[in-house]
Amino acid sequence: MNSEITLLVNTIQKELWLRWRLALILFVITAATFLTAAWVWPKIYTSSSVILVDQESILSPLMRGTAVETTVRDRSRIAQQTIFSQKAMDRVIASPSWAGADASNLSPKELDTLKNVIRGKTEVLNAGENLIEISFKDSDAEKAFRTAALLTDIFMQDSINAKQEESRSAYEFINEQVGIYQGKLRRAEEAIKEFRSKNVDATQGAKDNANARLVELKREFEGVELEISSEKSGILGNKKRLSGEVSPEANASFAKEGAIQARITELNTRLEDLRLNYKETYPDIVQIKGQVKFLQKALVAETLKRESATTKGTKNVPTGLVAQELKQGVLVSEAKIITLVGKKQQLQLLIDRERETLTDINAVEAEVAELNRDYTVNQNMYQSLLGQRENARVSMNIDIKNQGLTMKIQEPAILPVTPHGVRFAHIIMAGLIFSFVVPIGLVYVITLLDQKVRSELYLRDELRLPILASVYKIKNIAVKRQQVLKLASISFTILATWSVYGYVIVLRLQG
Amino acid sequence: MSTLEKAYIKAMNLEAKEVNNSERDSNIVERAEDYSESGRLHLDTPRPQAKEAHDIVTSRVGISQMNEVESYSSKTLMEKRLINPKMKDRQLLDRYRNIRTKLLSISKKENFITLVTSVVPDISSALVAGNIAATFALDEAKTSMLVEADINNPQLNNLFDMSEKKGLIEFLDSDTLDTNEVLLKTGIPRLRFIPSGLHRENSAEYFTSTKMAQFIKELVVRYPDRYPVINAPCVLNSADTRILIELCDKVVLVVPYGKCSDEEIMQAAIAIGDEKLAGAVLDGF
Repeated sequence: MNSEITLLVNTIQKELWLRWRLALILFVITAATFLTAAWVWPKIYTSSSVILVDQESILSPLMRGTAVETTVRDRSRIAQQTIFSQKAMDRVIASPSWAGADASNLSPKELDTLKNVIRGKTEVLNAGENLIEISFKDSDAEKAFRTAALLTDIFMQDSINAKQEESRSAYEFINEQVGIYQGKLRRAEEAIKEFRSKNVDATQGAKDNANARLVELKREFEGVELEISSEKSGILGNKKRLSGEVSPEANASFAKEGAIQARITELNTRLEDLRLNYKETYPDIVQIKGQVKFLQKALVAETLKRESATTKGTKNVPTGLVAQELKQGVLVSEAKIITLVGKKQQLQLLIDRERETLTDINAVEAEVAELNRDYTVNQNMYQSLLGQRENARVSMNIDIKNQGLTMKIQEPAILPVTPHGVRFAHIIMAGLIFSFVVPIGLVYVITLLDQKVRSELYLRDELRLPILASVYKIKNIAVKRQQVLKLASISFTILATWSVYGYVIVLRLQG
Repeated sequence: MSTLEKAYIKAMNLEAKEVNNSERDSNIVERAEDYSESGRLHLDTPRPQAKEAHDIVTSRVGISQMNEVESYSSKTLMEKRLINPKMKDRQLLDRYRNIRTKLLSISKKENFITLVTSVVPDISSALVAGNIAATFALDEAKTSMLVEADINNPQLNNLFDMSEKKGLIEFLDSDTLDTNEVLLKTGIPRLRFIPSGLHRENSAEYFTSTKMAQFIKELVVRYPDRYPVINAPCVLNSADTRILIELCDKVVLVVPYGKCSDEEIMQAAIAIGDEKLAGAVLDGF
């Protein structure tokens, strides 16, 4: 590594010595360029102010939970837009530091150029989380200071105005919303009212009445049906008696049979009870058994008697008064059935109507429930908006009176004393350094580009050429004289350049 | 004090004497050279009589005195960017000696022809060639010979102030010219130089001639203690160099700092071939 550096230094040294004229010309050109640049480079003064800004917008606490507010991400960008706006630029140009009273005489093109100049010299930065730095650069310190201060004022004023505007618009927005909800509420109320007036019967009592009435009607309906059925069977009985199919004896026989059956069943029940406690030989059991047996015999006898009468085919057709009575009975029953059928149809109609009424009442109830729900929602919204509107009104009033100011000048602009940025001294220093670096660099680059062999190591190791020796030319008087002359020229040029630098520095220091 | 250092100091003293008594020294050298030349040339002939030999020596001394070249002072050599034993920069001197040692060690022959070429056209090649030749000449037991074969850009001619002299091209072109007439003394003891000659086109035509091959062969055969060093144009651009590589024993590739890409270096190394490539000399790294 070290040998490489030594080789590099030696190569550069040799090349500089060989190409001394080129190196010297480059030295002079570079030095002169930097010197000229240093002389003409304008002094730049920067004046800046720092503004503390509250990040929170007035809308956020007001609208919290009600509406989602768009967040303000880049305050400095908004500040930039405010400061670089046409209005702000016009104000700056109209200030005495710039065109002043002549501003109105400027052509639109001149105005535009001037605005671009001002924009180019202005810088708006986010100095911290809530800090905005406004700085202005100019070759005139006074002008830089005044413009920076003016820009700060413009920004503050605009921001306050914007804030007032913001809180007012927030209030107006909420107020508008309140109006809208009020209208909605009113409409809901009216809708309910109108509906109610259209459906007067549609009350809770009406529904209960309808239900009770329906039950009553159904009951009545069933009674009529029963009555009709009873009359019909009465007619059938009478008719059978008239035709002789059914005699009164047979009827008595059936009745008697039934009575015997009932008695047997009763006795059997008693018998089972007794058997639980007593043996078969118990007198009561024996007695009951006897009774049952007797009754069963009677039952059989009765059945046989009735059947024998039937098989004989003896029809006992009633005549006379009895028949007259029976026919009368049939006619009365038929007339009663006709009346009952009419009543039944009437009742069916009533039931249907009552059912319809009930369906109507249910539909009305659902509609009313919906209207009520709308009304409740609107009412809640309206209530909460009313509260928020009052908050917004207070916030607006605070802003109007500048009581809620969330912006203040943390550090005001001051008159700059020392120039900022690249200065005369910097360029002079750079000139002194670069006037050496450029020729060395360029000569080295030429050396790299021309691809000529300059290293013994390369010849030996890369080209594998046997090396007899490395020699050099003897320096005779002519060569020595030439070298002295070369050295003198170089020294003289460098010293002369430095003298010019010194002279320029002195001139500058003296103003 | 180590033996090496003692030998070094002795060599230094001898060099100093050489500079002070350049005339005498050069005579001695000339005699030695002439003796060796005549010995080699007339190996199978009977030895001449002492008088004859004395006459020959006297005459050669006379010629050598006529062609007397003043030795370069250390300052002059430094100005020409050539190494010399008196220079303060011992590091560079040692590096060139190191090159010489390595060349001697890798060469299997007694003496050998070294070709110096560069990856890209650069003065480095001429200076390295000159300095390698000068390093061989440092050794009193050896002499060296430098040949400028870069016809189009003969840097060495200028270095030794011999731009207007006849040289290699004239020798190859002429049937009458002798080697000795183009083999010129330099201000450096024991170092002879053959300039490229007057500028001609199509040098490749000359280098492919049989005379060139013979001349190269003669360089090593005729003077066994002499180490010829040829400076050739850059290997990538020149056909001359490719021909010369075939004729030489070892090739030294000069890599100037920051002037060639790795691809160019690899191409040059491939053009030379592993067998002939003695190694790279890095200039200015």
